[in-house]
Amino acid sequence: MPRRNYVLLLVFLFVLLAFVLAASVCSGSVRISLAELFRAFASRVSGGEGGTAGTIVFELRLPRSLLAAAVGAALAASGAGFQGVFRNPLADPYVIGASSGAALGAALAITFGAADLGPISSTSLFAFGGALAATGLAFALSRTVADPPPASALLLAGTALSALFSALLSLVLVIKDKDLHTVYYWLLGGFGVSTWNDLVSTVPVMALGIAIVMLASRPLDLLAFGEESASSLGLDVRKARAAAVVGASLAAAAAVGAAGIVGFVGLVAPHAARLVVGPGHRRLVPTAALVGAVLVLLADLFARTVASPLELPIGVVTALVGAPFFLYLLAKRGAGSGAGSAGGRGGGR
Amino acid sequence: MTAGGATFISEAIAEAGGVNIFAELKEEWPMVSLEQLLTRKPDWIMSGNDHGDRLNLAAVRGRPLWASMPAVSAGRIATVEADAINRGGPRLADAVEAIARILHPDSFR
Repeated sequence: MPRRNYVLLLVFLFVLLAFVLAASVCSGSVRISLAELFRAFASRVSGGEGGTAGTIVFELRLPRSLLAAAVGAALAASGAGFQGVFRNPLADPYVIGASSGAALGAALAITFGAADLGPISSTSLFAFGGALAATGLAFALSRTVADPPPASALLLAGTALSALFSALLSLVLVIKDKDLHTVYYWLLGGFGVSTWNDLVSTVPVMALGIAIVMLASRPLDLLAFGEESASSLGLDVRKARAAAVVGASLAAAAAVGAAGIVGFVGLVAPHAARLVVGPGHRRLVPTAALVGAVLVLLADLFARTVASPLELPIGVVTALVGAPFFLYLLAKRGAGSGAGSAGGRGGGR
Repeated sequence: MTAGGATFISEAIAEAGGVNIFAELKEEWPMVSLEQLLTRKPDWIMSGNDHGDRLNLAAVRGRPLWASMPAVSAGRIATVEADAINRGGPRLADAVEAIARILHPDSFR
């Protein structure tokens, strides 16, 4: 794809994102007319509250929409990063245990009623910590195998730890079954109670993670040729892989802390982006992030309007839409759609 | 999560002289949007008393957005004995009385 077309694509995606964001703020469970919206906006500008419409639009829909976009971007960038690191098209943000670690952390926070840390909810904090601990542990364990460790060691350590954390989660839920419902709903993800506080506390971490994955783009491109070729080209494989894993893990952990476990976006968005801009990470990561942001925004909009006044968990929506879309991509392109065919076949959660 | 119209909890609220703001919902235990809560402006917010410190006046006041609801700013948040209100058994009558005492204290003088 020529550079000019790529820039046009980015502009198009930004415009699309802005449009979906506007649609997301204007629609929801409660009908708010454009006139009401403008009145609320005018009242806000002049320092007022803007009534119920103002509260709904500026304290509920705006932060949740921005957070949904950020989570989508973080999951997509993280997925692209992990697919690059493992040269495995099945890799996603949760491939080395971020989701099961986060689930265990959140379940512990909920069942033991941990105190919130100021404006940051304990569930969010424990989920973030659990995700980071799980991925960090997988990374540390893989390094005991060999130096530098083969990518498959990290994948296997992550898969084993995922199983361990899932078992611990089940154990906690069996013992504390009164909280089963609360934990189950958290696991399915959602932005129903997102506020500006959540945005302020999680978006900087997501941005940092995305930035690190972007900085690791060139090394990831070299890694695509295989470890030996990459190191013969002068790449420090160990450092490059560590940077990409740290960035992708940070983004995934912050996303999970903000929204619970939103599945499939981190898998589908990089594949969709790769179809258009090709496998080079310098274009793949930003494109995937924008695609992910749009996808999660649309999924959240659907989740909170389709059964209104009820809200569906967003994880259900992303998986319902994402799985068939992924199958479509698979049928269209065949199994080795660009992310390389070497590497183990993992993808365990 | 709240109680829809076709539940014994909704019925208990009605027996106590109250109106469940989600009585029209066919779903039994729906997860409703916070937007609905802000628009429907309940006079009272009630819950079983099995949530400890996570659901009392101070906790709800501390939640962003909830503080803007009239019931919260007026302190009209009450908990009812969870073992009575959460089970469709004989003690449900006790829960009806407890709710009635909260909603209509004057009638019990």
